[in-house]
Parts: sequence; structure tokens; C-alpha cells
Amino acid sequence: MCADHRDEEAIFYAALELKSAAERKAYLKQACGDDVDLLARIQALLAVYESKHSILEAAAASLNVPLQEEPLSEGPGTIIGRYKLLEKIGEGGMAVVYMAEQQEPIRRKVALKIIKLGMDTRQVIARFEVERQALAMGSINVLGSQAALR
Amino acid sequence: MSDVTRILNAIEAGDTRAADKLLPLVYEELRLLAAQKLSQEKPGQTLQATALVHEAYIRLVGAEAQDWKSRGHFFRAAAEAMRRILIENARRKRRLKRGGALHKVGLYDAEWAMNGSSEDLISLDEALEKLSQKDKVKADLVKLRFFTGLNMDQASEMLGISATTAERYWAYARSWLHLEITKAPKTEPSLLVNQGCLRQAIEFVEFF
Repeated sequence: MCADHRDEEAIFYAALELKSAAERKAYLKQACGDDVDLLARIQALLAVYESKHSILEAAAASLNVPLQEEPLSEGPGTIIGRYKLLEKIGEGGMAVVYMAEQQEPIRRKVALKIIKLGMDTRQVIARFEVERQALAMGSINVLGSQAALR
Repeated sequence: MSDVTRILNAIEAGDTRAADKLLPLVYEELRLLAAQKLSQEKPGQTLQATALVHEAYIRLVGAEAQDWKSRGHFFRAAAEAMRRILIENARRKRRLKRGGALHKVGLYDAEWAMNGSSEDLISLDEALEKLSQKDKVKADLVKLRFFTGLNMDQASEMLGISATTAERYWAYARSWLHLEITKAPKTEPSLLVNQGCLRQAIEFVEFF
């Protein structure tokens, strides 16, 4: 007998709420009854839940996607990718600009604009690299003068 | 106001035709960005999918404040576009691998930051498609987190669900996808098929 996926989902969530293995076992026995297939299915789902490494994490790792939460409150000294933040040089509504040092492939100073899309979590989710030349053309109006970079 | 911002506003206002315009625009921008970066030929250069999406966001939408719904439209389109680009690349690599002609690479090959196999990504994509048919919101959640790198809070905001719901959906979807992928028998090409593909792969590569 095929398990209705909604039952399976509901049972899965309910099982998650239970903290002890004994409670879960008892609950599953009651919820699945005679349905051995359903029980096996839920146990399989729960097994993946318990494990830190599923196919999703493996594929994410190979794509360099950070699936783990990274609460970041950036400041001078923070390293973001290949940039090291040096000092804050400007701040707008949804962005903050830092003078930063690029580490590789060459060492040089750049301006890094950090856009914040999070609400409570100050999560850096976008970075925009700006060349000194672009700054000279005034494309970042948050900076008063190029002197700020020296 | 950028073109894309205009489209996002139109979508919010209920213009269904506007929604159709968004994906091609975002897709094109991502491909352009990828090609630009590859053409710069920095040593050791690899493309990182989520960074590309965020850069596309800035270029297309800018730093103007957008509400969560508008951002949601954009990131969902971006997730779909990024997914297609990565899958196209993975399928191409797989074809070349089976033909034994992987040494010759073209514009989109090899430069993506992909340490794992194309096979994994293709399997994930197929499973995601199945999940999408069954439960669109959960599939969207996975796509947003996976192809645009949004965290749980951001993704849940964009989908209009609570953070707690998102956590549960994620847990279930993750387990579901893993079981779906690991149950499907992997089709390894037989030696015979490999040889048959060889000439086809070489023709393909030379055309490239």
C-alpha cells in the first residue's frame, strides 16, 4: 500500500517534535500501525534528517553554495572571500562601503560595497567590487573624494 | 529606474505578461556576466554561481530598496535561470566525458567552481523537477537556497512563509530529495555505448 505523501509528511513533522528516540519509536508505531512500508519510509526520511551529509550538501559543496548559516557582522579586519575589510568609508540605506585589501591574485586596495538584503540578520549576500578608476568617475556617490582610498 | 525594476513593479501590480519577460532578461544577464568573467582569463579563475546571481541583482535592480515580494520575483527567476545554466553545463560535460573528449573545453566548460561530478547535479535537478510537480513551494525553497545562496530567513521572506515553516519544509524536502536521488538506478554508459558516442562527441567538440 502506497503511503499518501501528506500522511508521510505530517508524521515526519510530528516525529521531529519528539526529542527522545523512545518517544519517536512509540509515536511511529502508533502512527503507522500495520503499514510497514510507511514506517520504513518515515524512518528513512528521519535518518537523512539526522545525518549532516545528504546529497544536497554534497552538491552544494561542489558548487560552493553555503548552506550553513553564516551570521556575519562585518567590521575592520573581517575577511570576506579574498578581501580583508580595512575601514568603513561610507554607509547608505541598504549598503555600506569599506576600503578593503584584495589578497589575490594581486594585493591592492579596493572599495567594497556590501549590500544588505537581510532584515534582522546582518548577512552579507552581495558584494560589488569597484575599481579605483570607477570611483574617480563618481559612480559611487557615497564617497566624498578619492582621497579616502589613500 | 531599471528595466527589471519596472518589470518587478508590473508583476506586483498584477501584470501577468511582465512575469514572462523577467526570466529571459535575468537568464541573459547571467550568461553575459559569466562570459565576461571567463573572457577576463584571470589565472585560477572560477565562476561561483551564487556570487553571479547577486552581481546580476545589483546590475539589474541596483541598490534601491525593494520589498520582499519584488525581490522574491527576481530571486526566483534568478534561481531558475542559474539552474538552467548549470544544468546545461553539466549535461555538456557529461556528453563530453562519455565521448572521452573532455580535454577540449569550450566557453562554459570547466570554469564553473564545480568540484563534484556533473552527475550529482543532474540527478539533483531531475529530483527537483519531480518535487516541483508534487510540491512547488518546497521545490522553490530548495532552488532559492541552492541556486542563489539565500539563507533560510531571506528565502522564507521571499516565499511568504514563516521561518518555522521554512525550516520544516527544508527538512522534509532535503530528506525527500536524498531518498529520491539515491533510489534511482544510475545508468552507467556501457563500453559499447561509449564507443558509439565517441565520434559524435568529437564532431561536437570540433564544432565548438
